[in-house]
Amino acid sequence: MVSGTLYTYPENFRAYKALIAAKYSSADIKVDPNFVFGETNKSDGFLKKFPSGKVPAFESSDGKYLQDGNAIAYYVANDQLRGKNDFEKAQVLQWICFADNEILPASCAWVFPILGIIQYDKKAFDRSKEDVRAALSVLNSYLLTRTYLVGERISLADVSVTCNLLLLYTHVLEPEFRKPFANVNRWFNTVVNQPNFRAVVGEVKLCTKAAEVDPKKFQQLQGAAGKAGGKDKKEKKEEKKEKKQAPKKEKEAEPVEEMDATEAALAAEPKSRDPFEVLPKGTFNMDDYKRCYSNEDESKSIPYFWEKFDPENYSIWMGEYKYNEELSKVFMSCNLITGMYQRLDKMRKQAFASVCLFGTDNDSSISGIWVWRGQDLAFTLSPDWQIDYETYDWKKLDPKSEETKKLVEQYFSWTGTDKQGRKFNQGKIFK
Amino acid sequence: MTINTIGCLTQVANFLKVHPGKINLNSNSLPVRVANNSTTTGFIAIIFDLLNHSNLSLGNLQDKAEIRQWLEYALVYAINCEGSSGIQQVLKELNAVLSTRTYLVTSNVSIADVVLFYILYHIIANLSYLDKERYIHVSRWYDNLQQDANLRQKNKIIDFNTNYLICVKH
Repeated sequence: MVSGTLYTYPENFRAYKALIAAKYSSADIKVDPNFVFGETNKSDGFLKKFPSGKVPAFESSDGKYLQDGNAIAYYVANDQLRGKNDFEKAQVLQWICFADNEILPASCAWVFPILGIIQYDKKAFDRSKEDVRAALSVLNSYLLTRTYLVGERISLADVSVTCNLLLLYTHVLEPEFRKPFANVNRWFNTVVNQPNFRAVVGEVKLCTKAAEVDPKKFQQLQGAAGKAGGKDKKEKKEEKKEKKQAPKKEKEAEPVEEMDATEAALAAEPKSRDPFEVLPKGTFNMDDYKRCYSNEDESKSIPYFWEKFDPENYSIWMGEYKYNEELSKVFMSCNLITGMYQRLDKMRKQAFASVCLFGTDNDSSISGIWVWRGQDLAFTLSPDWQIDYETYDWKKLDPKSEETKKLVEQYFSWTGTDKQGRKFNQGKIFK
Repeated sequence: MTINTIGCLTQVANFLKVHPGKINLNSNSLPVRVANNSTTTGFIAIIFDLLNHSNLSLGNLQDKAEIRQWLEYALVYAINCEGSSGIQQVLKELNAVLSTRTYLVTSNVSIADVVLFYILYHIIANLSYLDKERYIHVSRWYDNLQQDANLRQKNKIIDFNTNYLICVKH
């Protein structure tokens, strides 16, 4: 009997195929608990065994290596799953190909923009629905007279096609859409409720309302992906480990986990990491505003700011440097500001600031206007943000007062003087 | 049409790999099973008696309740259905249920499927192709069940291998 280790991130529908097949054959397949996506599979040792670095990957106890969920499933399965004779085996292969060629591309084109894994493209998105409909129609007429896809018992064909339909059935195939495909629905429900299937995947809850595309999600995920630097690696690792320990909990909380490879690991990150997450979102879209500020003249972007600003959930602050008398060279003072910005990197998503230096060498001051989500001082939300803020005096501004409006205009457009009448010298934008 | 109750119970016993004992009809035409010095009377009671001696699990409470419901349906409507209209009615009802389900209870073969399989054998075997088409979901279900040699026993394989050329409006 086959035994060995499977490398995969949790809740990977490709790995499910192998794990379900192993349940049927009672093959002893363990998922490597130390696997960290993006690390283990990029390590030299792993790449030596599995050159593509992709998961799922399988290492048998007697030192054989296999890649691809379908291939591993075939290897660890039993004869019932593989097909009784050559013709049945060919039919099983036919349905595995159908699952990968007809269902999976359409499924990804539909579900991945929703999960924020790929950018929304209306044309591709709309087409994917028709492609899914076409694939389901084929299955539906085939299953009118058949209980399972091949023969009269569950086979790898059922396992593969069902796994490739999982994301569709749980995220977007709302009752209205799936209604015409009664035979597929019946078959799908039967397969996902087989004890061997449930043992691996758990309960499959069918979609009640199709999820919609949220463009912000994509931006967030991609933004996070770009910024995830080397120094975060360690934290990432720890986070992944935690995840392993509580896979069940993950499942309910995070549909994102069902997504594809790389993105799954990256996506999990900003969500749990963003300390602003605990605060209500409000209506003010930081990204939109920053775009406007960058692209438009202040004469447009400042009215835009006041038009969109959400005083319920966001606040405006004045930060004044406490030790202005110690400031000497202008370039050094500017480094002070940019250094602080860098240390606050993780705050960028939900904050905006314009901090200005007034005056000249040996006679200058630093002060700035900050906007962030929440009504309290944002720096207390994360220990990472508490390095610089105590060197400033913080004053919350009343968004309704005229005085605030003037300050905002002055700082955002880099004009005017400080309280002592020093002229504006340089400004730095935190965005 | 009367259905051979005793034959059906014997096949259920064989399927469950339980000795059928002596099964007869009493003066009220009720089946009576005598085995191991105990007597059981009534169709459903005998089936549960057989189940108790087998290692087939009935599932959770809800599954058990649904199984009982189907056995009662089998007894009241399927065994005693009269005339072709009665048969058509049973097939119509089963067809509707099986359009959204693979098996009658849970996602696997249960004793409910098994009992109806034996009860309906002669009815299904004598269906015209047109009727097999009309009750397409019953046909699919029955065809799936009969592939299990242990379940089919000595019954002949019923042919469902039509070309499905006939279109029937459901």
